Amino acid sequence: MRIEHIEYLLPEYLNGTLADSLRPGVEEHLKHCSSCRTALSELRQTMEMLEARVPADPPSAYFTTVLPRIRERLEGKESRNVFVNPLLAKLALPIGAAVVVLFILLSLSSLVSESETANNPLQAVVHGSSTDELIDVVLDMMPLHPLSSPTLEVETSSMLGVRLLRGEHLLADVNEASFAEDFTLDETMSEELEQLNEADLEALVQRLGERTVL
Amino acid sequence: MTERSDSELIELFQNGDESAFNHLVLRYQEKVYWVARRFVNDHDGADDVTQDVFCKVYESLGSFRGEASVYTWLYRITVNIALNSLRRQKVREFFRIDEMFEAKDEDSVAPDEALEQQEQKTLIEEAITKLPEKQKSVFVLRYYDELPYEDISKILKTSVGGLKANYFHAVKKIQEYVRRAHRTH
Repeated sequence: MRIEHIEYLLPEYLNGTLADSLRPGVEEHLKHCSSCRTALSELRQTMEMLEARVPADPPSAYFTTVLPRIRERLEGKESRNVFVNPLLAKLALPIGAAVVVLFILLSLSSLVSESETANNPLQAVVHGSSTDELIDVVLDMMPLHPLSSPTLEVETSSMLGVRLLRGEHLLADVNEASFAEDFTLDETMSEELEQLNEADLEALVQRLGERTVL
Repeated sequence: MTERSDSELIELFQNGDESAFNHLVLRYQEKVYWVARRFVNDHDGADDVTQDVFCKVYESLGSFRGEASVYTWLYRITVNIALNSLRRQKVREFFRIDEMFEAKDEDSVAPDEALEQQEQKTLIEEAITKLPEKQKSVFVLRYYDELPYEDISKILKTSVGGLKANYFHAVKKIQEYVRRAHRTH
């Protein structure tokens, strides 16, 4: 019996939860495949390491306090809907537009090469368009954008969105796929970023959450 | 009331019995807390997420129609709110990036063995934190909550095959992260 992607079955094989029907196939494969045997051994080591990690218990009697505090919060709660706050309602469109323009810039950057600049199909659309028009175009054209890319270890969208919120142009190098991995912070930018308030953060997180593929 | 099923409690709540919500909180608070804790790694963060989850549940319970089980629904809300919490944390950490490069206080160094164990635990926590969101979610629900893949599939709306792939890659990434960290020390 041929099983595809046997390596994906190794965690279950290791902890004894693999279906009986699949076990013989996996064991037969392991007899002949040294790389899968190595993967299994490494998996075993990692699992042992994980099992040694035991987080501290919460403070004693913590769980007796959860319900009373939730009730207090519900009774004193103001609406968390960001669009009820007039200031945030005013900020939502420009912030949303800024994030969307970032996606346009990144899309354009990834399409541009020396020989292709003149033929960039988005140029005719972007040139002379208003912000509202650009938002409509991008929303029609772009799928939900993953917040984290498998090629990057650090989730970058929030960091990039912050730069745009401050009105800075993003100087994306088209040849740099991992522009946030070796991120350097100059002094001026860190001061400007510290001026972002909770409302900006909340709006940014909400917009990014809407565009995240989970 | 403690013997009633989840759907019975919801029906009671929708008919005006507020105490039904209290029973749901008591039934699921530990589960929600520990899922949150696995994502955010600290008690205070997990406490905030737990409160946010149940406030969200309270707001939404009136219109819950039972398309998914309460159990699946709660897990999904918890994962989403925990991930939002991590996104906020990442943006805030961005502001405090200078603090990450401040010199460590030499007096705070622990004895060698305890330090090595602490470093190992910290590395694992860091490795899990750095996983992509999907892999992190699958890993937390499968490894720590030991949920069957079929349940995780309903929570995350991903195929079982895709989940198994995500889980495998998550474990490998953790392994690679710790290994790389040991090589550079």
